[in-house]
Amino acid sequence: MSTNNSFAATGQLLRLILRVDRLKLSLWLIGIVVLIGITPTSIRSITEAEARTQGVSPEMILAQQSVLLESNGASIALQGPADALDTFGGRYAFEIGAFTFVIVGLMNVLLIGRHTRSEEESGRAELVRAAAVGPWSAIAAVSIVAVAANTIVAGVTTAVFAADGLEIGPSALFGVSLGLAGLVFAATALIFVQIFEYSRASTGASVGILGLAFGLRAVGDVNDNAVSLLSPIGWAQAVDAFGDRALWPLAILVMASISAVGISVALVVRRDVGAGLLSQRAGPAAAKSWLTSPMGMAWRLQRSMIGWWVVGVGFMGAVYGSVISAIDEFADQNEAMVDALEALGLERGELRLGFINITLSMMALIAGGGVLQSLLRPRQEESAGRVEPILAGSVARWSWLGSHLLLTLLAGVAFMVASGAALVVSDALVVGSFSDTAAVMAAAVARVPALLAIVGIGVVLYGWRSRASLGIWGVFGAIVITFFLGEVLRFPEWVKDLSPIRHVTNLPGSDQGWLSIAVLLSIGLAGVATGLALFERRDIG
Amino acid sequence: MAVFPFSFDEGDEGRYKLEALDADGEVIGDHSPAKPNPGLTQARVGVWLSGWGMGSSVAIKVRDLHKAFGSTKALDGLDLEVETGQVMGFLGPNGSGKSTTIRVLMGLMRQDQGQVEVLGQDPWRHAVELHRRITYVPGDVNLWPGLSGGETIDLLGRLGTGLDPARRAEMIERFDLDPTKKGRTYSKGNRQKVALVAAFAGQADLFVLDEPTAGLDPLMESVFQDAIREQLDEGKTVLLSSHILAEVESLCDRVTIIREGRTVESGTLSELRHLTSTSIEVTTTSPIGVMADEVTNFVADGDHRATFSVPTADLPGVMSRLAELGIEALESQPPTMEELFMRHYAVDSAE
Repeated sequence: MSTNNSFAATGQLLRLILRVDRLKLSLWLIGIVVLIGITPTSIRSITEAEARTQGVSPEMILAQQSVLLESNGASIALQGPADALDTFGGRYAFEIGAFTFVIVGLMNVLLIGRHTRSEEESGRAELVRAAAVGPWSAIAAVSIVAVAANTIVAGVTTAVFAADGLEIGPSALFGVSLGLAGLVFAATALIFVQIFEYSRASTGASVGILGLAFGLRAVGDVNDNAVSLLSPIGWAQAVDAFGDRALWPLAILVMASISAVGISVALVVRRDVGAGLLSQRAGPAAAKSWLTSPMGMAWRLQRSMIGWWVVGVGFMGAVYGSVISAIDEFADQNEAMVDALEALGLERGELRLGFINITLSMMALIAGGGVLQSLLRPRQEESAGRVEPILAGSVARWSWLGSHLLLTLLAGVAFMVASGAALVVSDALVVGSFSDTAAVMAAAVARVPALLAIVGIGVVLYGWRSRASLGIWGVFGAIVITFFLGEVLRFPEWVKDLSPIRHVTNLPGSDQGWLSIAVLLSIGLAGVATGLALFERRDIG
Repeated sequence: MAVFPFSFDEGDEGRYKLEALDADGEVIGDHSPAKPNPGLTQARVGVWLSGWGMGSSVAIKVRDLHKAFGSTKALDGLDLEVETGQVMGFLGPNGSGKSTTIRVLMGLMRQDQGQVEVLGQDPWRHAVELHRRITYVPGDVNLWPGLSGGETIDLLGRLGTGLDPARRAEMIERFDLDPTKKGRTYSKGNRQKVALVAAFAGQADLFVLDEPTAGLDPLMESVFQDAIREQLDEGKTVLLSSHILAEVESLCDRVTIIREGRTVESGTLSELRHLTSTSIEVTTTSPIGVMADEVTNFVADGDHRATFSVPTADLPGVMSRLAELGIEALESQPPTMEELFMRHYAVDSAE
């Protein structure tokens, strides 16, 4: 096979990707650019305002805050190593945080999945590969798009930091580390799309890697050890662009990307078009009796997805549980921290509680991804034309949709129980004894109503129009951003209050949660009822 | 038609080389042009030679093809040979391995074992070069939901065998396709038309069609058949997998029937007819009962009238026996396509 032909028509495929994906990819890039763009302005103005009030220099304020942040394990677990926090650049990088790396990674993983395995699964890749298109052309085309997208992320980040008045060198270093981390996730996704036959599985595996990368660096950063260096996000954050300015992590990121693309290129020519490297198991010859009820059907369609999410959130819970005790030690080692907390009227134990609060809410947001996937399953069934034969049978509309929604709710409970239990058990394994078990478990389950409220909005959208239900990802995205960046970006209180998760984040440790829970439950149930009523009335398909 | 095989190498800028081969593939003579002739393709040479009753070339040659998916044997020693300039019907019951064979021919799948040559090349190793000369239409075309039909035709054409703008416009017209609609809004039949227009507007030498007319209305079916005939006039080759027997009957020079991944029959339609039975309804002057043991499905209607079937090969003998009995009226029906294929599709696998 000549090299020439192996990449035949790459340019055409590249244009096809840009044409088909112009809206989605643009929205992702705009979202990321906005996310990164508003952070520096916001932090600088807060800091300068504080400096004027205290009559000191802004750098002084940064230095004061850096002492607090360095000893705040919860922040470190969520955002990254506390490097160079006494500089504006270091502080921006910290606030942009590991969370943004995950968002950029997600953009890459989904981009790769859309243009590789999804195309094969739909049969379109067969049409394309039956033309004069080389075996490596699709990988090359989507890789070029991924490189371009990550270059834009890197470039805009650099520009935003430089525009804020930071030195161009360190700004570019940070931008490049973010872009290269994104590229590593794109490249790993390229491997998984060769292995799995269905895009759901390959995307799931790639997102799993993303979660693993986030979790490993959290453990490493909190304990200040090399575990972070098992994670691509850890590599990128080890660059410490505004402190030590290490260049070796960039080399690792580049090499990892190239090797992963190399592996995928080697794998793609070893398999048939449309097939995976893992073959499918045979299914049972006949349906079990439970399968033929609407609830059984919903369970059969969703069980493996729910199962994988339980494993995923359980793993994340275990990762965060393992650092709870380290949070306590932080406070022990750091007198300034204790003083600062006391000045705020907090006791030491509340630091631990605060961390558990934040962690459980973060877990609820991660679980929210799974809950939304379950929620949108009916929409998927409908757009694939699979719901018509069901509804043409003796199944009522409310019964079909209601079964899926009941399962969505149960899945939400299962995710939260799994993450709470994993948190408690993992902490107990580290410390040697169980503590706060009942409180943590109750608090975990108490976050389900917040998820239900989001589900309620989604059901209304779906009941109105099938395609409108996808808008719930926008709502969810806004909630996630409010959670991670609402404080830094100084969202007004009423905006932050729109996020349902905010109303349960003070649990455990608060007695005022019941009202919030009742309100969230009512919103959720009202949404579900309205959505079901709308669904009864609209056209199918 | 096929006197001797030949090999044809297009060479650079029309300096082709034509070699005549004997049955063992040894070169027994060759020819190169005095002046370059860039328009000449293997397909055209095939038509040209067969017009003189001289040559033939094989567009598709498959020997002893095996392919398994896990423990499932999809292909189990399949043979297939399609001569240049022919329409080969490729038939078999669902799940017999037609689509798998076609995917192997297109280089989308690699065989576990066996010999495959398409236009003289290995389709797996030379997929890209071959795909500039082959066009493929699957039976279930999936389009990009956001691309219009016209965009998809251009895309598939440019990625594949090229696109002749005049032909493209003509085909859109003939297939009555609205090229401005988005992929997600096309019906099954219209998605099929998009792929067919892209195929016929191209410059392929070989058409590999896997149930290409599934979902087309009868009017479009006839447009499809006309388009195939025009391609044949230009010396193109077609491999047509189809369950629409009327389409097979009207288009195919030869058919290959496969079952359970193996070739069970291959030949012209009249050759295959020969293997099946003709049904006869006859009235004789002498009592007809004596025929009961000599034919099958014998049903008497009184002493002098009966219906029965006769293996087509035994027809002459049976006819002379009937003549002895004194024929008063006779109606014979050649085997229908349905009967022909039922016979091959329904054979017990123990056979």
